[in-house]
Amino acid sequence: MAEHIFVGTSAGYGFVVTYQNVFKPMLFDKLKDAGSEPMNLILIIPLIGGIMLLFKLSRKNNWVARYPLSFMVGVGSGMGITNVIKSDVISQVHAIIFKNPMWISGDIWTSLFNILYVVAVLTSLLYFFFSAEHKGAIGKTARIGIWFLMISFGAAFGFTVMARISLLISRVQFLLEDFLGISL
Amino acid sequence: MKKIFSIVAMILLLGVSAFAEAEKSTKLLETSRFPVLIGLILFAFVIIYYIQKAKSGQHIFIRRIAGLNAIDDALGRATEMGKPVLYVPGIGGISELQTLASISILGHIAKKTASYETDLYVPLRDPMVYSTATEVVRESYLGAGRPDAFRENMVEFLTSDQFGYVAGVDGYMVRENPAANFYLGSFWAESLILAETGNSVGSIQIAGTANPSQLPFFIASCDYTLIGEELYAAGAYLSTDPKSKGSLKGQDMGKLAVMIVIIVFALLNVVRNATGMESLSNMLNWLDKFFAMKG
Repeated sequence: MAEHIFVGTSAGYGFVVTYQNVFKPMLFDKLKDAGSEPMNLILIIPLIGGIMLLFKLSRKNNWVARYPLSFMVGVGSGMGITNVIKSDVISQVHAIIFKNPMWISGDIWTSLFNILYVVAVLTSLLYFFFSAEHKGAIGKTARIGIWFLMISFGAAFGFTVMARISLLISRVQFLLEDFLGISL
Repeated sequence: MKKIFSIVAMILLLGVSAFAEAEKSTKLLETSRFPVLIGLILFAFVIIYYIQKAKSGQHIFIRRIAGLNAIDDALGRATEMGKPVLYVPGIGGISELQTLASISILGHIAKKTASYETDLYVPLRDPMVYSTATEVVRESYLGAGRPDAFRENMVEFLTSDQFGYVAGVDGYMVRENPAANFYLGSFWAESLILAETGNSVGSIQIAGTANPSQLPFFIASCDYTLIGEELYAAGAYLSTDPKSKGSLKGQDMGKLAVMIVIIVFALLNVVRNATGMESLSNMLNWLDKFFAMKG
C-alpha cells in the first residue's frame, strides 16, 4: 500500500513539477504577449516537436515520433561528441604522456609511480579490446588490466561507504546532541 | 534522394551551428580546439570504414563477452524454477547510448523468455524508453513464434521519480521473488538499493553499466557485472545490425591507435628526459602545447 502511494504520488508530483518548471515558464508564458516581452514564436517549433513525440503512443502513427526523436538523438550526440573526444581521449592521453613522464631524473618514486600508471592504462584498455580473443599474451595482459580495475573499484566502494558512514555519524550526533540534548 | 536530403540538412545544420557559435564567441573557427577536430575526423573515418566493411557482408570478429554466458545461465535458472525474470534497463532516457545497448540486450532476453515460456517483467522510468521497450519485447515474442504469450503489462511505466521507481521495482522483487534480475543500462544512486533487494530475495543478478561511480556497487552485490564498454559490446554482439558491429570494431581500432600513441610518445618522453636531445625536445614541447587545450 505504502509502495503504491509512493509510486502514484511521485508520478503525479513529477507531472506537476514538469508543468510548473518546464512547460509554464519555458513555453506557455513565453508564447503569451506579456507587454514587456513579446511573443517568442520560435517556440512553436519545439512545441510541434513535443506534440509529434506523443504520437509514439499511437500504434498506427508512431512513425511521426521518429522525426523529433532522431533530431534529439542527433543533436545530443553531436553536442556531446566533441566533449567526449576532448575529455575522454585527448586530455587523458596528453596527461599520461606529458604530465606524468615515466622518467624524472632524481625522482625514482614518482618515476615508478608514473610507469605503473602507464601500465595500468594500457592493460585496462586492452581488457576492453573486443577484436581479439583473450588468450595467450593478450589474455594475460588483460587479466592484469582487470586487477587494476578491481583495485580502483574497491577503493571507490570503500570511499563511498566511508562518506555514507560519516553522514550517518553526523545525523546521529545531531539527533542525540542537538535534538535530544544528550552530551556524548 | 534520401541521401541528398540528408547531406543538405547536415550542411544547413552545420552552417547554422557555426554561425550561432560565431555570434556567441565572435570567432567562426575555434583554433584552440583543432586537436578535437583532428581526433573527430580520424575516429569518424575509422568507424565509417568498418561500418561499410560490415555492410558489405565481410565478417567482423567480436569476441564473445563472458557476461552473455551468465545471461543465458540466469534465464535457464528462472525457467527451471518457474519464476519470473526482471529486466531493468536503467533510469536513463532513450537518447542515452547505454539505454540503447540495454534495449538491444532486452530483445535477446525477451526472445529467450518467449521460447522458454518464462514470465518477463520490464518496469520503466522513462515514457520514451517505455514505448520503445514495448515494441522490442512485442517483436521478440513475435520473432520467437509466441505472439500469444506477449502481454501488454509485461512492460510497465512506473513513475519518472527516481526513488518512486526504485520503490516500485523493489516492491515487485519482494512480492514476486524473480529468479533472475538484470540491471543493464544507466544507473545512479538507486543501483545498490536495487541490487541489495534482489540479493536479499535470492535472485541471480546480472548487472552492467558504463557509469563508473555505480560499477563498484554492482560488482559487490551482483553475480556478474558487465563493466563499462562491455555493455555496448554485448549489445553489438547480439545485434544483427552491421552498424553496431562495424562501429564497435572501429572503436577498437581507435583504442589500438591510442595505445600505440601512448607507448611511442611515453618512450620518446623518457629518451628526451634522459638524454636532453634538443630536436626531440622541441618536437615534444610543440606537441605538448598543441594538445594542451583550455576550456
